Amino acid sequence: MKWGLKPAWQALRREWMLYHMGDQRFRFMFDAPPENEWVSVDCETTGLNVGRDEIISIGAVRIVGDRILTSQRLELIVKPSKGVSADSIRVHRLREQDVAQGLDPDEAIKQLLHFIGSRPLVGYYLEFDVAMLNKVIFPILGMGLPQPKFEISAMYFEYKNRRLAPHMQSVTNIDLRFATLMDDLGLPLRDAHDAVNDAVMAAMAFTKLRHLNRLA
Amino acid sequence: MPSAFHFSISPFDCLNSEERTLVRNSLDIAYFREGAEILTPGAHPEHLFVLIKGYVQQWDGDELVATYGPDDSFDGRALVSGKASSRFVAAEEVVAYQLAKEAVSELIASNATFGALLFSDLSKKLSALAEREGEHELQSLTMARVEEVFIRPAAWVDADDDIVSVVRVFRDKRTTNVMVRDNQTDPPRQGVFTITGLERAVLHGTPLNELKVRELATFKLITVKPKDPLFEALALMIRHKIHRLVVMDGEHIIGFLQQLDLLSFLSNHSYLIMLQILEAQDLATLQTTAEQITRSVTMLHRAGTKVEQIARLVQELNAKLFERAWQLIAPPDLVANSCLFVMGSEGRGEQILKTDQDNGLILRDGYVCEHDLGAVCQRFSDALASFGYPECPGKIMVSNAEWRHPATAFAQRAKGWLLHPSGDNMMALAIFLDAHAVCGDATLLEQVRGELFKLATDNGMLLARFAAAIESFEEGQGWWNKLLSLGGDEANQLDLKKAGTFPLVHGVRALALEARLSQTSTAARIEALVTAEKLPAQMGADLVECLRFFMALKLKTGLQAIVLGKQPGGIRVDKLSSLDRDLLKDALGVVKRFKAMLRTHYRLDVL
Repeated sequence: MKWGLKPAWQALRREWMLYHMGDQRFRFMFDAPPENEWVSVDCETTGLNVGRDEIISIGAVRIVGDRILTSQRLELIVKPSKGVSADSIRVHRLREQDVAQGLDPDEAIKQLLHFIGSRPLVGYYLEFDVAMLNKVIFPILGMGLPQPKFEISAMYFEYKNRRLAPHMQSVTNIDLRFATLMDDLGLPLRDAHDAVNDAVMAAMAFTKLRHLNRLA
Repeated sequence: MPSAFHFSISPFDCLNSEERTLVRNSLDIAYFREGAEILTPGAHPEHLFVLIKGYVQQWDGDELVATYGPDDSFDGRALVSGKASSRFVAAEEVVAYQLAKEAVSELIASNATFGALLFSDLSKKLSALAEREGEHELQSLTMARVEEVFIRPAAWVDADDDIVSVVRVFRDKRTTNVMVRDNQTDPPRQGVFTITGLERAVLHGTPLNELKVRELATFKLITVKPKDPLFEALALMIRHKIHRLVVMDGEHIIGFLQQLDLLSFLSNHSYLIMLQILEAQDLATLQTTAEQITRSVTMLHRAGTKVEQIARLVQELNAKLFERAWQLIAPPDLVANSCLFVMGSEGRGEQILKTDQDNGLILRDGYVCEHDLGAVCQRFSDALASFGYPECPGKIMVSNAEWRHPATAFAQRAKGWLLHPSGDNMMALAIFLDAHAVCGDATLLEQVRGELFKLATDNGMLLARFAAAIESFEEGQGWWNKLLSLGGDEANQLDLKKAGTFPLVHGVRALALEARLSQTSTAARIEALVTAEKLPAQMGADLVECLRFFMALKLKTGLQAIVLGKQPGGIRVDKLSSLDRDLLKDALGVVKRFKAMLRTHYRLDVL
């Protein structure tokens, strides 16, 4: 997948972004990404409202080729400014006392940025996670995450859609729920709603879909 | 994902929490498409693979050696030697954990069991397993109580009695210890005098008929209560270096707990079963005893007794059972002038749970049987069937006239098997070679066997034809694939006999026939072959280990089937623990090597 922009324009945009970057220590995010590497990211939050809710844990895992480097994973607990609602505790099982020991959001984000480097991002409904992360990143960098992003549900949709007859393509509703797609891809579904576990599952789905979509 | 790693599977189930953390932090996940080569010969493996999903096949050249499924790990050996020797290919899409080599090395250094389970050859793996099974033995020990053991009632003597009269009590009561009551003291005290005290009595110098037992009795009693756990009793005996304890219920002395009784209780009631068989006066009694044999096997197995010991014991018990049944059914003159023998696994002493009856009868030349021999033999076969030994489908039993002849005729018949090596004859010969006399005149059997060996000269062609039966169950690479049981239907049952036991036992049998060995048990044959340098020592050791493993596996699955009220049958590979599956693979690999050796030895490819 390319940037979708002409290289000359790309270079120009990169210069402009670097110039406006709030914290020049993060210039590495614009380096040429290492070949065949990605980072799968997942956040657990206090809720699903980007405006109101906060991040409480971040899980990220590197992908190199067909290997998922779970041995070099990033697992961060983040201390939110407000309390954690009972509903969300039921989902991610992180109680207030668990997150109270966590990092400040700024500190956690800096660790995450170093972990990601300039690698493209991978995730399931990544849009939400990126929006949550960008809330913290903007004050630091004056910009959001610039890396290319791979959306699992989009890749899965592409894969399913391609296998449908043309007249069915626009009318068939493809079930994009995570459990469904993992099951359909024949991948092990593990304990969900733990940031690292979710990131690893997304990484597996990505690895397989990358092959399926490239082979077609 | 690291938090989801199955630490319950071998070899990871022996790790402590620190070691588990090390594993979690050294795990990556790898994805392989179908047909991808995971390891190739000569590659330097950097990881131990543990399968999450999918199946991997191991190929040596173009021979499929093994298949690995979820939770299996490979290739430990290559990791240690630094070089892979086989090709590992994803048989279907594979998701696998990769455990870094450094972490594996660290685990081996810190945990010997892990290393043994991962890389050792079969025998090391098994001894690592045996260590773990030792825990079960302890469990069965911890649950039993003193009152469950035979407590010998105590004979009482007075402290004023002299040693000679005490010895008379020993003789009359057939005991080696008495309780001594001393009423001279206040309060009266109780002591023990045992046969070991006699030594001191003799050395005391006082004439024995004048020496009072008070002088030599011990009045410090070491006691246990009926409700005490057995291991405590055993520990007391060991601590005080004594062979018996006084069992006391409150103030009341019940009797003695002898170390011998305690140990024989722990090794089960086989002795009692033996007594019941010997004293049985009718077939009905024998039938109830026959049921106890299976029960005692279950107990022995749970107590972690070695499988060969169980097999030996069961062979003894079965032989006694058959002998007693024959004595009850056959007239005395028939018993005296014939030899009843058992064959097949029973003859080899490798049968643990009841299987088909394979037996025969050799009559003395010139003996005229006044009785209806057919009816007597039919009654015997019926009796065995009622004991739970089903009739043999091949009708290899005394009720079939083909299997009862005078010695000369029998020898003729046996020679006929050799001279006309049809499939049936080869089978009959194979079964007869394992014959083991249980009742009557054993020399009759030796006579026939001797005649047979005389003829089995160095006829290579004939021996090769005999040995070729090891190939008769060959289903191409079929049965390896059964290790890949995906479903749970009958078709996925591995017939252990076809896949492993038969080629091993029969191959050894063929070599034993060639070397004219009179041993009938496979292990004894292997030992004799190794001694005679007909078999490499390492191969011999591996084969014995395999045989043990097959027997143990058969016993384990057979007992499970009995518990579930089913007939013991095939082995459900998908129901095996991953360690057993691992060992099974190794064992089947050894059998394969052995077969290859026999193929070259007998030139089976030119047949």
